[in-house]
Amino acid sequence: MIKLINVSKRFGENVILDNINLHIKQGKILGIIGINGSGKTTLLNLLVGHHKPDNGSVLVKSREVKNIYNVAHFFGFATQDGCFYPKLTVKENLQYFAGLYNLKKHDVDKNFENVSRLLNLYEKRDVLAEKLSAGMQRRLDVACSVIHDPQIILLDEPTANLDPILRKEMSNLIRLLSSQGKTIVLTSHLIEELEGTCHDVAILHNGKIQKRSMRTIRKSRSSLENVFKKFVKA
Amino acid sequence: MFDQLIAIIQKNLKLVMRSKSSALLIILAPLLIILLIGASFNSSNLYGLKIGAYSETYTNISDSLVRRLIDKEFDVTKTESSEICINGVKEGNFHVCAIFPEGLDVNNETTINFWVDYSKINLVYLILNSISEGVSSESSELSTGLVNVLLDELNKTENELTLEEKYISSLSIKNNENHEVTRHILNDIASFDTRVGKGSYRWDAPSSKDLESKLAELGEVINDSEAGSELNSLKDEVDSYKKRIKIRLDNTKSELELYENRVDHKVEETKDLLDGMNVGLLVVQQGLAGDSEDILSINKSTNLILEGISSIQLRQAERIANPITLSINPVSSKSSHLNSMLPALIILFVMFVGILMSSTIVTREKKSKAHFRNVIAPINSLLMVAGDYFTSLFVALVQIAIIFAVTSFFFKGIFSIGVLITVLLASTLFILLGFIIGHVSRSEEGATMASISVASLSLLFSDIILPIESLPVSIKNIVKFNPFVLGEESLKKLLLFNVKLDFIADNVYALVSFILVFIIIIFVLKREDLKWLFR
Repeated sequence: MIKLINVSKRFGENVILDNINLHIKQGKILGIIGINGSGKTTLLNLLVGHHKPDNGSVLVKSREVKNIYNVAHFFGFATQDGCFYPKLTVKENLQYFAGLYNLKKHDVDKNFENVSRLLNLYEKRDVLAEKLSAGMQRRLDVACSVIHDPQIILLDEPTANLDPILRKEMSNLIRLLSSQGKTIVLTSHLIEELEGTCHDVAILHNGKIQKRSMRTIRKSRSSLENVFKKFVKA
Repeated sequence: MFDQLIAIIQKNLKLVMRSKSSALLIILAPLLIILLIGASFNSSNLYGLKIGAYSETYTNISDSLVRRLIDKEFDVTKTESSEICINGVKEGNFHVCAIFPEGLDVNNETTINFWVDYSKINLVYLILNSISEGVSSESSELSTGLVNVLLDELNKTENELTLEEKYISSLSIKNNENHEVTRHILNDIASFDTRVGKGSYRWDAPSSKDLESKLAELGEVINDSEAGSELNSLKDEVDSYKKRIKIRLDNTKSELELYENRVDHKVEETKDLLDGMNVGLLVVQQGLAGDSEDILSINKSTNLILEGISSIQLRQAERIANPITLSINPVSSKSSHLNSMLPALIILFVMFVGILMSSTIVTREKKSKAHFRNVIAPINSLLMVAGDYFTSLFVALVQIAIIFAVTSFFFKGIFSIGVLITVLLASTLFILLGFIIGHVSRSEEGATMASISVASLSLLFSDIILPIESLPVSIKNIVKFNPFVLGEESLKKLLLFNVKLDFIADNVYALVSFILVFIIIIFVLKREDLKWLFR
């Protein structure tokens, strides 16, 4: 589904990604783990074409990502911040972002119905976004990401600043989306969260990346934490 | 793409309207401002302007001037000293201090000193103009009075001279006649012959000898007759008569000789007299000739004076006192302050709304957390710019529509296609300028500051604060291309002078050129999107 081939990215003197290769399979949940500032968000930005790699190429469905416009329809991106308009209602936010993807009116309505019900936002559809609780706002953010029915959903620290109950709720939501055939790439620095949610994990440290299957980790009776520590030490 | 554009505009409008303060500003601000301005400036008077007045001694003229100012709705206060009056201006108690000279009179000092605060330069000219009207009309009345006196005297002189001219003419004629008479008399005298000559008279009475011979002949005849005796007696009687006649003739002769002597004497006297008269008359004739010259000279002078007087066509004192009267008339029939302010007001609105609205929308969007989602959406950011443009334009037009709607209560028929085009062009220009400011600003506050600075600069270099004619030529040539000036000037011509659109074609082209330049700048700022557009 997504391939990063020899991708490097630096900001000034800082090498964020150093000649990395990564393959993300369709329908899987890939967790990217790394310490703060390791380049997780940069990696996601490279995937959507918001940043350009200095070297290498990013392929989405065998199509090279040259800019946002040729791959935007594939991606839904929920950032760490709530990417919605606080002064618009839930429905207005969703309709607006759906509108940006040039969907037809009935598709917008259908997607709104599906997404809002899926994410339990339907009852709150006429409430201003700023009036929603933190959990609901996070749901709205995810809803805004998926309103155009993308095949790949990128979630940047989806559980950051959430209480344990909301985290659990978010994990369930991610699994729910995955169950609908979406490819999900999420970043986190919480190991246990990724262990319970992801099919694969990629450890990002010092510009290098290592992808491991959670099944393999579990089979080796190891833990993600150990794998992570080993990679960081190495 | 159109659906995307509509979605962006709807979103922007909702965001603007959801903010209570913004909504209030958008709807109520123009209403409030235009109502306030309409109520305040829909007249051509100056109300409540305070004038301090001082004079050591007020005269009729100075009192009359003060009354005129009061009649013109100025709030005039007579101060106790010139210092209080002048300090009143400094302290802001008066807008102008008028110091009248002591005993203001046309025969004395007539300079009235006005003390003004030049920091309020626009007000100063307004007040001075208004006061000058009062002063000049008073001054004009005084001049008219003085000229009237002169004219009366001139008229009297003219009448007297006209009257005298008749006498002088009559005198001249009479003098000439006298001269002629004198000349005739002199000629007569000259030709008068006083010579009488010695008596050439003769006494031709028949001699007594003839008579005696005749009587003798008669006696001889008669001797033969009986009547001789009677004839002798008759002869005696004749002799007696003859003697008496002779005596009488002798007497007469001697008397005649006596008379002749007397006549000679008288003739001599007459001759002397005539000689004397001749000399006198010659003197008179010379005098009359001299008088004639003088009278002619006086007559000429009188005629010249009269010609001069009659050549004065202006005989009305008002016109002599004010041969050139100034009448400042509005070139448009609409003369209230609101009328003259309306074009500037509309462009001012368009400028502030356009620049502030668009720069705020751009920076708010840039700083919005939702912006990232717009960035990663498959939408050209130029379309976002277009959406922001139409949002700003919509808001600006709503406000202008409110202004026009409210203004139409004060005066009718102000809307036209030309006005619409000018407002659209000016709005577009300022909105694009706002976009540029928004794109280069890093924060909303910075954008607001920059917008206000740019708008204030535009305002400063326009006719609103100081006439641009007061600027140096080099700066004036630049300032006349100030978008605010272009817009205001165009709208002024359209609204106040009802000109057609082609009359302001130059301004329209300038506005369009600005718009094109700004679009290019925005394209450059969004060069990534430009690449996308041409790819």
